Amino acid sequence: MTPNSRPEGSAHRIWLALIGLSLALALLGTAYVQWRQYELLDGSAQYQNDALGWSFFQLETEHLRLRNEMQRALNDGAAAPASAELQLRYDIFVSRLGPVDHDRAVQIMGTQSVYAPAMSLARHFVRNADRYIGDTPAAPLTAPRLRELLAELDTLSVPLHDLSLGASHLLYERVTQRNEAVRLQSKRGIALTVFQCVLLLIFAFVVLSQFRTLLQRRQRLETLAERLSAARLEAESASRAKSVFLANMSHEIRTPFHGLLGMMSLLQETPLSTQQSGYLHTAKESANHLLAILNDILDISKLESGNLHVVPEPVDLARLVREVDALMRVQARSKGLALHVTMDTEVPRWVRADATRLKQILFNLLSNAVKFTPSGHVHLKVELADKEPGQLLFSVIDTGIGMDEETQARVFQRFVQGDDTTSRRHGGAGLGLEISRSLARLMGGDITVSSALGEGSGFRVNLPLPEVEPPAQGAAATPGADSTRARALQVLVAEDHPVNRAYLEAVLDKLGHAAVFAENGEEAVRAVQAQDFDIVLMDLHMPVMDGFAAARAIRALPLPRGAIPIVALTADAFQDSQELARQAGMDEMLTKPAHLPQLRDLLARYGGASAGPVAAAAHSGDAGGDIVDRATVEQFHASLSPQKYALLLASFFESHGATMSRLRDSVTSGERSATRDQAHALKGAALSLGLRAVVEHSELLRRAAADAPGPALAPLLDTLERQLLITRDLCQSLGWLPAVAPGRTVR
Amino acid sequence: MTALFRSRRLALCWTLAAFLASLPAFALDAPTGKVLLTVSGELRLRNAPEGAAFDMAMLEKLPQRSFSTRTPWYPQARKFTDLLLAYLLDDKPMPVREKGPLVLMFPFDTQPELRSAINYGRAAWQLKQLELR
Repeated sequence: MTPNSRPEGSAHRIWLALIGLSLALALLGTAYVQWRQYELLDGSAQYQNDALGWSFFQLETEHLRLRNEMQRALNDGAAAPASAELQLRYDIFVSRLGPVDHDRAVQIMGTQSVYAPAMSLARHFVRNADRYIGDTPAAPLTAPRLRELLAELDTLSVPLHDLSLGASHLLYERVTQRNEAVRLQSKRGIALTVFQCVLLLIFAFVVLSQFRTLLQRRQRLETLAERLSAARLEAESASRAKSVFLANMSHEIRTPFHGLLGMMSLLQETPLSTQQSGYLHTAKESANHLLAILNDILDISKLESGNLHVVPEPVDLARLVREVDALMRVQARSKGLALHVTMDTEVPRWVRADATRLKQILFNLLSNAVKFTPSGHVHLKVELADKEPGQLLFSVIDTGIGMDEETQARVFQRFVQGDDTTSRRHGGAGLGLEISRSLARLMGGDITVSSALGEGSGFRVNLPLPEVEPPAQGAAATPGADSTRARALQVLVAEDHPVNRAYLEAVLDKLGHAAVFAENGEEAVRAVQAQDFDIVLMDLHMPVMDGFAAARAIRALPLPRGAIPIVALTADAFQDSQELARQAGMDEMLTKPAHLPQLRDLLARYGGASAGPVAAAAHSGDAGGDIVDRATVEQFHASLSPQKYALLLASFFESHGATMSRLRDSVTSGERSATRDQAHALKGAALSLGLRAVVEHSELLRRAAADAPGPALAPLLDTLERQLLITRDLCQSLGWLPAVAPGRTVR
Repeated sequence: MTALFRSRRLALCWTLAAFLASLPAFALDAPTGKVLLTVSGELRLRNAPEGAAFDMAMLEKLPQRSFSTRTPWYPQARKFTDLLLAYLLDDKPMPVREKGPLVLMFPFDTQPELRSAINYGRAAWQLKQLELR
């Protein structure tokens, strides 16, 4: 529920409560009205008040019948007038007096002025008559007595008649009153019922509106949930896209890096002046720094996508710390700092840890410490945390510039590096600490910091690294490792990129191994089928058939060729790719750029011996930048050897005569599409050889030929031919062309 | 004397059906005392030209029950003893002056549904004749 809908909800509740209360009251009122009506009707029925009129009428009738009987007895002149018939009539008359002469009758008839005297007259008559015709007569009924009684009875006739009428009137009045009361009650009942109906309608309306609100809220929630899940999917796909982008970018960035660093390694092996050597050193340092930053960014992306996995294995901790010490000592010394490394004796030598990631954390913290310490020392201390086995504490303490509390709070955040001034002074991407802490947390530990401005900093890494038995000797040995069987290897390189091919050929040549190249997976599989190799270096991303499929295809071959060692070669260093490569049957993975020492080590493990440094061909060129692309040519020279380049160049110029005559034919006959295709082919060949002028003019011809009603092509063809001749002359004058030397043909 | 009894034309089929159902349990002898009630109509058992005539002795032989009830005609509750036709009021025979000798009385107090003008009207006094229809 949103905060602004709460008052609305409570208003609703108050309304409901009010309506409910009113309804209850109205129901009570209706019940009361109905009970009153029942009382009215029941009371009148039970006490037969309405029957009083009838009783008076009966009394009057019996009075007349008694009077008649008495008259008849007098007229008959009977000797004993008190006959049984008279007796009966008298008794009945008396019995009819009872129902009108009692307390309730007094209450009802009290307002009638005739009632009391008439009753008193009647009682007087009965008292007189009882003396002669009562239960126990005191004297016989004689005619004179009868006459007297008749006379007295006559006096009763008018009052009794009045009473009869009065009672009737009273009855009508009462009926009218009761009807009035019933009508009133009915009216009230109807009013209450109408009121109830209205309340019920309101109640129903409120309930309905609440129900609708609930429904709407549910719909809103459902829509929100749908939107959220869609947003989540979108975010996830965006994140995936980012990961793919990063992987691609890493590939794209590492490929030129491969070339750059490789060329620099090769360049270092050539005779250089002190100045050139210094420049090269700086260039290599910059490139290495850039590579470090690139690796940091990749680590971050892997940590974010959860693709970074910690792989714990038995690690010689003492040796690891020694290695870190050795590397960092150089850095520290170059800044004039002392590096102390101490390790408590309780710390086990062999622990279960991911050595690479542990080193990464320690390097990070130590280089930070060195970076932010102008003078003094840096101390790496390894000890048991709280003297508790299995929990290790690595402390990196420096006497550097330190941090205030605010900086300490932010120091593990991305791109935060002290403040802006220190950032400018010290450089770096500011990702190191975040990566270190994320790695420590991945390992089940954490990093904390304690520092004060100007008093140095202390970073403490707490990691659960359980002690393990040292692994059995030789268990970690790489398959095929045999240092005694050092020899030149037959290496199959599957690589689609021509520059990489050229570079690898040069490196392998330098290492004294023989290389055969395949441009895609399919060619690689065919090569393995046809020829014996010692090892396959397999690029993972290739056209036609990629490295994974090729590896699987090779593994499916009959032994022993199906068991050939395959090393994945890729700029894409993601764990997923590694896993996929392993699943495809590849033995290990070499991350590009593969430097000469790495390749040497790798091949040595598979039984190859290095032929040692080979003197690179020296070359110096000069002018002709507009006509030829010197960079390409030099790269060719450096990686392939000038002889091979000369061979390629010679074959290009040899075939150009045929090409030109074909071009002239097509231009003459007006087959513009043929001209276009031939010009395109010429351009491609010239491009790979670095013949810039030829590239330029064949492109001009190609474009002109592509325009259907375009300009005349003949002049363009003439220019192109002239440029070709100029280029050949230049190449010859530069000494590239006539030098023909024997060598292995490049596929 | 029977002629002196006040007669009320009553349609009492529902009560008489039950009343007469019990009649065969008694030998219908000729009344010896004053006839208090004559039942006329389609009767199989007859002891008089009009139908079945009962005197007090015969009525007393019928199964009896007593109940007290308030009525519109007495200020307080009174006890009636009857089969269906009450002949004792507060355990005493009812003279004519007391609306006797037979009255048709309903237990209004124990059966509130009887309390209606129709049933108060059916409570006949000085009953002398019943006609079965």
